[in-house]
Amino acid sequence: MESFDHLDTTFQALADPTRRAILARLSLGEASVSELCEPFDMSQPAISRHLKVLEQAGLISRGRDAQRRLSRIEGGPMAEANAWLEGFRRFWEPSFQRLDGLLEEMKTEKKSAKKR
Amino acid sequence: MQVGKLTQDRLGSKQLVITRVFNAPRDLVVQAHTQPAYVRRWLLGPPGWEMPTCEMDLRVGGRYRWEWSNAERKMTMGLGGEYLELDLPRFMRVTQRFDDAWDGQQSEIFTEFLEQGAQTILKMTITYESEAILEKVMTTPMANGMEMGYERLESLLKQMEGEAA
Repeated sequence: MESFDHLDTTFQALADPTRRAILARLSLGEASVSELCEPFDMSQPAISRHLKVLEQAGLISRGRDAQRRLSRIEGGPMAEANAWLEGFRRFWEPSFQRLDGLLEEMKTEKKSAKKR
Repeated sequence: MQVGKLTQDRLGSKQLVITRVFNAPRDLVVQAHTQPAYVRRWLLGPPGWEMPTCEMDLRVGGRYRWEWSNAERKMTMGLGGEYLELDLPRFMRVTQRFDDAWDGQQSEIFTEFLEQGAQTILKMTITYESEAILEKVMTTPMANGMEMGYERLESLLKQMEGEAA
């Protein structure tokens, strides 16, 4: 259970579309605040606030260079959230695949019952 | 043979929709979902799990109880709930709560069986108690990423099947 401790903060951070877009941009490589501002039509302070949320959630880390403070994506929390979601799908997809097989059997049974 | 695969979509602030197409008539898909003898043969999750308990008192106000175990990993898992609404073969509505839900919450599941020619579309709408819990369950970019991963896995599995045959 404790492995899901970070999920709240992770998902809260991911709940915002701008922050998701920032992450998508950072998944291509490091970027400075001003670089991140360009595609979003948003003020630098607004972007900075989003970066702060992402940083606090551990989803990104930021360089200490005052001139060019680069943000970079951090994989850990994302992987954890992904694992949670994957668990959900890991349960259903193999089950449904098994159901496919069972339904084929049931169809055959139904056909042979009709013939009798 | 193209068998539709699972899709997972978010609906509004508290709902998650899972759809899956099956190449079988609706009455069989409904039977497979409502008769314990069938349910315990497929509702097993990943390999290694069995379903020793599958009780389903299929009537409004009746309860169901599912328990799984994995001998190899010495793990058990259980959940249960109540039938709130039954209008088979069209739909059913149930509550659901996991024994060890880390969120401690109950969800409501509305399962529809839709006919599409010789196929059946299974549509499960899961409603969580709050928006916060759904936020935990789903975010768009990750779902997209996962979908790509699963597509790759699927083609890999097909390849492996072909090699084994």
